[in-house]
Amino acid sequence: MTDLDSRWAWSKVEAMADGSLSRDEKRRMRAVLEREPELSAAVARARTLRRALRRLGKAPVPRSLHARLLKIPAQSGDRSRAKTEVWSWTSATAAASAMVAALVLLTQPEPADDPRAAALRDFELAMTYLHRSYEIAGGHLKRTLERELKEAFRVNTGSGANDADTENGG
Amino acid sequence: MVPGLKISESATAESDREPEDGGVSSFRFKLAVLRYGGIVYRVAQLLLGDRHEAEDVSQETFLRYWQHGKGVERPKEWLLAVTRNACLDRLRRARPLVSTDASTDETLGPSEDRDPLWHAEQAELGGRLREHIARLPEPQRSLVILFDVNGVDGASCARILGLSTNQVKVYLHRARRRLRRALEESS
Repeated sequence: MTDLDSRWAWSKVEAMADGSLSRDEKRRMRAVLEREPELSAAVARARTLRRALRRLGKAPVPRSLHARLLKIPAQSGDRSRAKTEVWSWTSATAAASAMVAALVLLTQPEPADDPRAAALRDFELAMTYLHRSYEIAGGHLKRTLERELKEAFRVNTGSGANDADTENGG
Repeated sequence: MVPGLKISESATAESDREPEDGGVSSFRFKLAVLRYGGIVYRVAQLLLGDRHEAEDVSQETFLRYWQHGKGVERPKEWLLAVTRNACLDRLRRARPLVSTDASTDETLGPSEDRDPLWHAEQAELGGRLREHIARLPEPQRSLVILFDVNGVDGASCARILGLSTNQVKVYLHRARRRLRRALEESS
């Protein structure tokens, strides 16, 4: 063991105590510890200190503290906050009222208009209905045609295959 | 306020709207109390050495968070920095209270299955240790309380105390050496 090892080991007492040394460093440290009882005692003291400090951190918190802290918002009586809350409630109420008013206006029955406009609406409705019917009927027709064609094709191919089988078998 | 502390809270619900007056929402406030109430109290208790003062400081700290916590990105660090400042202010106003509070001995409750002599020794060691911590200069004292006692990581300690990480290491080393020597001398 060299003097350099000893000096290095003394600089690593705390690291040895808190377990932050690498594996190689620990091996090196153990070699020095075997030869230097003073160093060994220093490491033991460092470990004792570390444990005692950690134990201080486990101090119980008074049970009433959390309850007391959680009451702060209710007890703070912050005027600006109270004012903000009043304003936010007021604006929320105003927004809700505006929405209700808009809904009432929109759902009111339209005033009777001239017969031409009514006829136009009826025509648009009829055209929409017709268009939709065409889509449905067209789709139905298309699907039926596809099904029929597939069936015909399958039958045709099947008969062809049967013919081929017959040819092979014969 | 605490300079240089940006605090990020990942657990922010979308519905948790913050008020526009600089205060924090009640959801975030309750979350902070439940998560950090204990550490805030312990740090204050060790810095001040008095349970009742520690409770008062905890209350002051959380009141400030309630009123000015909006935009705080790291609540734990913010709260601990405010706690420390409040404690140091109190210590400046009145002489340091080296732990004479008998109730602090509760910290060494008989939770572990050891003999009474061991508990008595540990209680005595804890008492001496608190006295020696109280005599450490700043920022060594705060560092020991944050890092060694309460397990706050080095980077957070650096931000709370406005130090570099190298300074944190140096001050911690010095503080531990002082404490070891003080304990050896007093035993």
